[in-house]
Amino acid sequence: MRGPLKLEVWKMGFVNYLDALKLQEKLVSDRKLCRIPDTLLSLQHPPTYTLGKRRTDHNLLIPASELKNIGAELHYTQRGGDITFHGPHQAILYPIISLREIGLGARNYVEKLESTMIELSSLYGVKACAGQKGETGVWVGERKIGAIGVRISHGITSHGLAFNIDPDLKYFKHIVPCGITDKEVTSLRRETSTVLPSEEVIHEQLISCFARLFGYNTVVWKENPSILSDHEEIA
Amino acid sequence: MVTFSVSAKMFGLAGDYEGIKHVLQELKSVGFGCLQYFVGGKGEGRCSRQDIWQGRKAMWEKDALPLWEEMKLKNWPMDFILYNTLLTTDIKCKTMALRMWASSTANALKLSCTSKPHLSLSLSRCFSTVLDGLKYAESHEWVKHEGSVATIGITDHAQDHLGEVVFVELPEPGGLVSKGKGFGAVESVKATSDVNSPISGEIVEVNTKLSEAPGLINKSPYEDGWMMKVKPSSPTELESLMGSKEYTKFCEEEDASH
Repeated sequence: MRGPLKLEVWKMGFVNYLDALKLQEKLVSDRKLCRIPDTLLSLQHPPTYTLGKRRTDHNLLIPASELKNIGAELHYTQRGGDITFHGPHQAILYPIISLREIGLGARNYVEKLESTMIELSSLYGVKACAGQKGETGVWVGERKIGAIGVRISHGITSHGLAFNIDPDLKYFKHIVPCGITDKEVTSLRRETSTVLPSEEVIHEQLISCFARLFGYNTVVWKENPSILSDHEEIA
Repeated sequence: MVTFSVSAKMFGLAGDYEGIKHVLQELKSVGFGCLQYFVGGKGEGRCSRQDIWQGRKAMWEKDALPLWEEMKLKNWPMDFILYNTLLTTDIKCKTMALRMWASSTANALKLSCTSKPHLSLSLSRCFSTVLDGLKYAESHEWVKHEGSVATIGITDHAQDHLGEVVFVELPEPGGLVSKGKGFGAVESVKATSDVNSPISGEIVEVNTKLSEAPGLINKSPYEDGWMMKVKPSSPTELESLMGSKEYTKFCEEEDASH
């Protein structure tokens, strides 16, 4: 049986997408060299559209030049998945973990990420479920409440999940979210009649669901970590 | 045990409801444990193996056969029958573990609406296949060395853990690869996974069929799903790779230790 599993959680507040990307690259490299334990970044982004490795930019319905007018950025990434939107009031988790040490393949990892969001939803009486084949993500009926896009490099994960607490859903109108045409996007606010606590509480609950589902015995919290520390070269 | 899975799948693919019903009844009569054994199922998440075995025995006897009748009546697609049978029995289970187990069971039986009747491969599909004569890397790639060219792909174990591949990124022919370094990526279930080259050398050819048919990696990881052909620059690198027996043991240890 494996030994005690430690997770280090970084609560980061608002982070610009590119800064988060650079930080993840550094952490992936550190994790690969076993310089750091399994790490989980918990954050939010300013309005940002992102594309995956397949570069499905036909799913962006407004010209890229228009994005500045609506206050959003666009980034191309190496993660799996199609186009998506990140913005305020959407809880994001980027686990930088070693799948080999924890004994998971890509499929099982993604399923556990789905389960994390499903469990969180159930805390508020929302019955969410994983998508049908080919529609990875978390759904409430025909409406998508959580998205997943992951990159695995030498068995180390980056990118992760995005759970809609109460983002401005109008931003989703400018894309075909995740390339799926006839389904809506929703949020926890929309789906529950329960009064929501502060977002910080919901973020912590999401992190707890993650830690429990992945079997971490020890969780260490790091508040307001500096993303500009240790300007090491990225290997 | 293997016979049950092969029969079930054959009947499923042939659209024979009565055949599957017969298989289910046979399974019931020999005790439920068989289903779990031959798909290599194991306790996941919070259920212990024992819990799952006991829980599913109860579900199976109660739900599977009447559910079968219902599906027959409603004319639901054949390929989903066993998958749905397994999934429905999880409604009463309080954990997600069972749902995950059900879907990995269905995957082990290779049930999907795009599956074609590769009956000759059915037997090997119940467990991860490891072929003799190939060399294997710890990151689950294989190499077939024939003369001056080595063909490279990912193993059955790798494709099984990835899920359905929807996109493959390959390098250009003429480029160079180094042992242990990434040469491309595969995407499945919203995860892109890097693939690493087991050897160094010059890329002479890549499998262009994979851009139209990425699922070849799942269906035929050692043949039609090959990824690239390389002219090895240091043939001694092949000697440090694992043989089929070593690799089989490596996979068993990897899966068992968690």
